[in-house]
Amino acid sequence: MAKKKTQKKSRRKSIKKKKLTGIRAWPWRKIITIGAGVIFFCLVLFAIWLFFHVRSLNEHVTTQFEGRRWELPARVYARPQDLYVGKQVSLEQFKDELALLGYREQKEVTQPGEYRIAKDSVEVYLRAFPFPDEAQESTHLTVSFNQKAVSRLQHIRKSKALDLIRMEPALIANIYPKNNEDRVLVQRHEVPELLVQALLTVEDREFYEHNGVRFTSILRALLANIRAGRTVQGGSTLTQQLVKNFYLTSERKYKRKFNEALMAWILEWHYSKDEILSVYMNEIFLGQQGNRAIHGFGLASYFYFQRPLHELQADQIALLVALVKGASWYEPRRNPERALERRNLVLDSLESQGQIASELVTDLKLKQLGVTPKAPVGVSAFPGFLQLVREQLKRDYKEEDLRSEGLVIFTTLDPIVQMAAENSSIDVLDQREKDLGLPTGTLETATVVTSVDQGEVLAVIGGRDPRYPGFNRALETRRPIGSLVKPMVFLTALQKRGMTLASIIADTPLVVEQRSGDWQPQNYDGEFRGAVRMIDALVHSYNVPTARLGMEVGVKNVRKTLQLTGAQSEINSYPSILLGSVELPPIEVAQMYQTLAANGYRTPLRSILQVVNPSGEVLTRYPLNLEQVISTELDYLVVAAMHEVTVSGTARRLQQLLPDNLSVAGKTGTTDQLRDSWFAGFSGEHVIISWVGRDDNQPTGLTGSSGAMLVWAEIMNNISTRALQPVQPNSVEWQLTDITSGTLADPRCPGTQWLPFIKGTEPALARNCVDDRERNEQQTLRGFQWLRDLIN
Amino acid sequence: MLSACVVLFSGCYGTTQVQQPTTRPSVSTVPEPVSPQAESIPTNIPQPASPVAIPPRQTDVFHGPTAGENRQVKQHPAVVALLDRSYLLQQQGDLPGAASSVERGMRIAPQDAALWQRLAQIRMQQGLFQQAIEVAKKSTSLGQGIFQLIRDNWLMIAKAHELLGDAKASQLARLEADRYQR
Repeated sequence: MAKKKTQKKSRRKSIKKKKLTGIRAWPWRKIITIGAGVIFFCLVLFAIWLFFHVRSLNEHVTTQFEGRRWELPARVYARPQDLYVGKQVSLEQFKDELALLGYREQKEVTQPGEYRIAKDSVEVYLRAFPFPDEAQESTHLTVSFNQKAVSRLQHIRKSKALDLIRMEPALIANIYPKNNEDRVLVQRHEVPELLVQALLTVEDREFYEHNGVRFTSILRALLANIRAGRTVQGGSTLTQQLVKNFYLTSERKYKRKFNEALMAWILEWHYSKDEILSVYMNEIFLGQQGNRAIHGFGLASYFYFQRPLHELQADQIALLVALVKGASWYEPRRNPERALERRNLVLDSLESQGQIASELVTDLKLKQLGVTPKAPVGVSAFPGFLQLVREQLKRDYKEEDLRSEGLVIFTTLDPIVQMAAENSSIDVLDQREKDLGLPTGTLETATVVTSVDQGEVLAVIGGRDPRYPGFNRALETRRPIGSLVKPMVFLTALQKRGMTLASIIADTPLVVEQRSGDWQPQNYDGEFRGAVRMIDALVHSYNVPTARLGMEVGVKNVRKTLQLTGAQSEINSYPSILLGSVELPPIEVAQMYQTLAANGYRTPLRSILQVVNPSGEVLTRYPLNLEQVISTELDYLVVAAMHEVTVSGTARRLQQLLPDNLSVAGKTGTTDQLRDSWFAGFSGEHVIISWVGRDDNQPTGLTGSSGAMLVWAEIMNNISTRALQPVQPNSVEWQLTDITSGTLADPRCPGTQWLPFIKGTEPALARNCVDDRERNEQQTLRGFQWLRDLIN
Repeated sequence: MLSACVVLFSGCYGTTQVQQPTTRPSVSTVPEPVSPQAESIPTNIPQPASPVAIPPRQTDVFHGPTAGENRQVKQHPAVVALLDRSYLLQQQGDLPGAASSVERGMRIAPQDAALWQRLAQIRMQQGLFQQAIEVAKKSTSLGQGIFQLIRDNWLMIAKAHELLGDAKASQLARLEADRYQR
């Protein structure tokens, strides 16, 4: 009530005032002059403000645009596959490799990225790849196979045989910028013309005519929006869209619109249409995977179709353009129907503009989306290996450079070996858990595979789930290595004068006095054999003779051998290290056994070959380095003994598990109460270290040969490898010896074995097995005896 | 092929010519001449029939070449192509590139002693003398029985020691090289 009264009063007052003003004459001129002055003043102020505003925007736009450097992720590549006649790769494995590279099987091979399978051969059009040392051109060829190897390479156009061709390497990982933006930069000329036409048709038909802003369409959009009461239409040109993506932060709407228009206009003033278009095509947001943002058509092509942009078909191009309007709304994997509808709309627009013939459009519209069912793994499919790469990179590169400089990193990973190792590990562990009645997932595992002579890391498995990028048991767990230490003990012992593989060592109770209490090593079976030959101690993994020998040559010397061959972790000098109390991660064991496998030459294990910048210059090389740390003769003796381990020793089951002609050398390792199961060994081409155990360090019920060795053998079986063929040093010779006394023996003796000796160290004594019963036979062997006499 | 053998043979017995780092070796098939050492090596001991089973020689299982065998080393055409490329890059002054090419070859034939010798030669030219020594030693380890190669390796090692200022080691290496020459 009270309010109403006051309102009425005030109204009355204003009426009065109006009447008064109406009566008095106004100095119109003065008012107009003042008004004009004020307006003019305001305009001047506005102009000044605008001038400075435009100037600052101009600076902002140009500096950013010209110095525009997207933070580009580092790309990590696997080793490229070299193809040559005799290359050990089966047709199936070759197909796996092609699948990894995103090649597609076709009835007719017409362009790079396609292949066709015939009976024993594959017709394939290999893609080009700019290797830093020599660019590889795209090549159309036929690869023929026999059994497990390449038998012929035939260049189709030149119709001639090829000696060697290098396939493109598989992309195995990306190291993203902090903002998680991912892109593959494409130049304007690399973009298919149809994509450009489609983009302009759908998003901005007058792109080549306007000056950055189209006022008519803004007005139209504004009216439509006002009528609808919400934003239903965007009148933005490509330039404006770019500005919005590129420069603007979340400002208030109208100020933002104003700035957007100004900046678009400035951009157009400074730069050519093609420059703007090219930046747009690399900047546009086209998808999301976790926290990784997919930017630009270059990457979107890989992300949705797993192939480069220039290989896309018309319908695929239409889909990418369809996504511009809303990459998550039209996400083809999640919302295939929406995406299909939108794609066909784009195809219709192209038809109406005469870009594609009508008949073709009808066909194209019937096609499925054609996206790969799963997005390629964003960070890495091989996190175990990648961690090794990153550790090595950390020594030479700053984290921010890795994330932003677009570095290209060539690694040693062999995807075929890696995948074989993964599958083998999983299969064997599943089976062993079933056998032992353990709940699934109890057992954990780690494996490292390297090449023998070049020390290249070919595969790393950090755990049971090889895709899980967490705790990496191959690099991070330190477990006692058990009997894997034994070859190093014997290597040390053989350096002592007079020691040979045939030397006799006492196998009787041993007590080593220590301040912390006496150490009394036991054999695995608890028995004592009185005396054994050195080779038997290794072949059957006897603890007591090994410990005795180790004490004799000195724990410190054994420790030195461990370090020389490749152990890097801290190692104490307690006698218990002689039986493997030393705790090492599998990767260090791999280094040690690589040295043994490679004739005593240690080659620091490498996971990276070179790092290249985006323009193709090599920034860092990681060359092959070696150092001889063990004499070739000694190494040969120990390798021969380790081969015997796999023939008649603790790993003799390998005779059944591996093909007949695949000779290998290795050593089992088991720790107290069966907590750790190890197997370390090598063929002529691959060093493999496998560990099986539990994360809670509880007993597994597995010995080295009933756990890790099965994983190891399964991997050896599933990769192409070569038999162990150590070159016999000039200074080594083989002698027939008596297996109990260790003396030389003649061929008629029962219980003999051939053993290698460094010349001059062979036993002086020889056992003579000639008795009356054999005398007659001996007559016939006089010639042989004569030869032996000559030799001795 | 025959002439190639003759060339190498005469190289072993006659001249003391050292292989120049940038010259392409003309042979890929290397026969093994009888060496002064090899004469004293018992090769396969004839094994008569016997009532007791004689265990096989372990080398038979290894399938590895033995010191006394006549070694035939045949290079794969792909390796030859990569070696050619390494010579080309070396001539162009791209030593790391030349080394990469050799390493690529090693992935195809990791136990090819000639490839390791090539790498040693490149390391020499890179001024990495210690590495040259190690790699040349490795080449020798793998090339047992290929006397021309071993001799060249020892001469290279002698040179590297000399450049490292170790006259004594250089002298010893030279003596070692002389053992493979008559």
